[in-house]
Amino acid sequence: MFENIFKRKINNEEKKSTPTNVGEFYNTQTDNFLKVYGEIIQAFRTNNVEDYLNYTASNARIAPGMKLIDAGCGVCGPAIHFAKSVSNLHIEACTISSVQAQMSKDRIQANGLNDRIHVREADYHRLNELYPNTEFDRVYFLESFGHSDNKAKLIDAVWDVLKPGGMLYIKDLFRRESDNAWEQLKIDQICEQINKAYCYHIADLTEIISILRRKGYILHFIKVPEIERSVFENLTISNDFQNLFNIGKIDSWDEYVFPIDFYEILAEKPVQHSMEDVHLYFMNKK
Amino acid sequence: MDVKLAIRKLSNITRAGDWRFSFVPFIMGCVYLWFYWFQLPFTGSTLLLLTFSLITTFGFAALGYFINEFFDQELDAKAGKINRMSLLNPAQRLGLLVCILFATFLPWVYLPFNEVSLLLICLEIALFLVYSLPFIRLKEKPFLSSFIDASYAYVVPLVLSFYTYSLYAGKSPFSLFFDFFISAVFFIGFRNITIHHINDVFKDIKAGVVTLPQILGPAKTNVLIYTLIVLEIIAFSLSCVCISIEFPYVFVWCFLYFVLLIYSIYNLNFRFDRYFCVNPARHLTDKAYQIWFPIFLLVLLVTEDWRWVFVFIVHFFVLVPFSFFKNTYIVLRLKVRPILSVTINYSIYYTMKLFGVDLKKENKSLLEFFMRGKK
Repeated sequence: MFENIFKRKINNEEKKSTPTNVGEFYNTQTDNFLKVYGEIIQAFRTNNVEDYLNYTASNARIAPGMKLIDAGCGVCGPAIHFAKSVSNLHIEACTISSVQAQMSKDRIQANGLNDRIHVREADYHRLNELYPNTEFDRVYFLESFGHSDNKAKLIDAVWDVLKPGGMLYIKDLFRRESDNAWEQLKIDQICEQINKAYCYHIADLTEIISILRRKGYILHFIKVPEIERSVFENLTISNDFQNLFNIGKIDSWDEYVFPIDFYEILAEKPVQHSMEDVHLYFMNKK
Repeated sequence: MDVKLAIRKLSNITRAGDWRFSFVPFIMGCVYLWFYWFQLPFTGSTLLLLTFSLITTFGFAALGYFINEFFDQELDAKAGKINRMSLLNPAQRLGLLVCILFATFLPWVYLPFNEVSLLLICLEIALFLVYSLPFIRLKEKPFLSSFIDASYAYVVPLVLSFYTYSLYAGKSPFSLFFDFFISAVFFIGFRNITIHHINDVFKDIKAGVVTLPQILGPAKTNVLIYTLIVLEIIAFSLSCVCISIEFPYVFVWCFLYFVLLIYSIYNLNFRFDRYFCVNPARHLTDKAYQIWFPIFLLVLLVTEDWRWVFVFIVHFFVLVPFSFFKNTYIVLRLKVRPILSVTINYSIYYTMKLFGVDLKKENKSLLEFFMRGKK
């Protein structure tokens, strides 16, 4: 009897961002995402989303002939765009959602990119078990990194599959920091609400940088996406999505504290083998 | 002039939404308690006493907000807060003040009072003034402002009403129950002003006003609110037990109070975590005082004299928020109904088992079981 009464509470408690939950979330929500976002399921974007994808390709330093992994590929909107706009790319796309994997396959087929993009339904924490090691030039996460409930493990897995000199590109939202304790509390509270609503684990930038550096990555840049304000979409679509489907809906903008910052990170798995080499690298004496 | 619109405007200007469903119903609950405590009969004169109590309660609450808003105009503008007083022209302000003063003081032509009552009324107004007046402005002094707010919003009105009813009844106001009760009310008031300060923390920072939560920070404010809740529950329970000794029916309220607390702990997903002071759980006990406490006392009074039903109806319409009815309906439908359904189903199942029929095994409802022969 009491099982039913307490079911709602238990469900709320347990709705954490485990890979299974993320998969279930996208299996049920992908249609809704597609209705509002279109094929590019990213909140931070430009009015013409293709401009933003071109910007991403440029900042991730994607070049012809590269082998890439799109980790958390959605319905392969970005992967298809990159494959069409950069020649000879080979993209391995990975999603935890069976619905997204199937949709991706259909889209890849429809675009005639079967030989360029290969999609699979899998947990991206296991990239190093799914793909050959030291094979890839780029592994990129476009607002998918935050779904990870074990970011250190994920960064380790990316390290294994990257070639020496290969790069990890992350574009995501990160928890904002404030010097006022009350504002920080509010930020953390809203982040928790977002995490619950989207099966997310909004990352702490400092922590991620620390994990990357401890692993041995060389940080090329950490910066806010540099797009002109006139072409910025202002997160309108993401707000529309929240309102339409009541997911993480903001009930009142009065006293609302913006809880996140968007950042791009580009980190390289160094070619150098010894610490001396790494130091020399930083001194530009390669 | 449209009366409905005028009332809405008046209630908006006096910020009635802030007090109509919070401390006014609680104070009225206390008034009903005094009726019960002093065993006052339901007569024309006690009804007048009650009506004037309600009017003066509204008056004091509105006066407090009027004074506060009046002297806050400059700071509110700085903080980007909407100050209702700034929306009125001087003539409207004067008219409003006159109405409020009438509502506050005119009932005292009928209500019994003596020097002590006058002293309490003066204390109440003095607290309003020292809290808001620009050259004193104790509202900007952390700790002290919280003490003053808890005093003028809860403690002084409570003592004044108790004293007034004791004068009317001609009985001594002193009792152990009242000591506990007044402590509980102080803790409730202190908690609520702290919550108010938390809600306004960003506006206050913007306006340069330092309040207690800003000094304590979230972690210590959490502990403060948690402690206040524990203290108010202890004090309130002890006061109820004290009344129960003299009036055993009040013991039902003690039981109901604990049931409400347990329900709120479940319903508000009560957790003492770092977000406690900004979560609805900080209002854990408020519904018990603001809605159920007056309702319970009115039910008690109805059992003594059925004519209290009329007061009950008026109280429901004036001092119970619509959301309460909506939430009660949802709770009854979603939570009570399944419990009832399970209780009834199991009763049927085991009753039938006594007669050697296992409805589960037969995969039949009771109705299907009895209808089986007819098919």
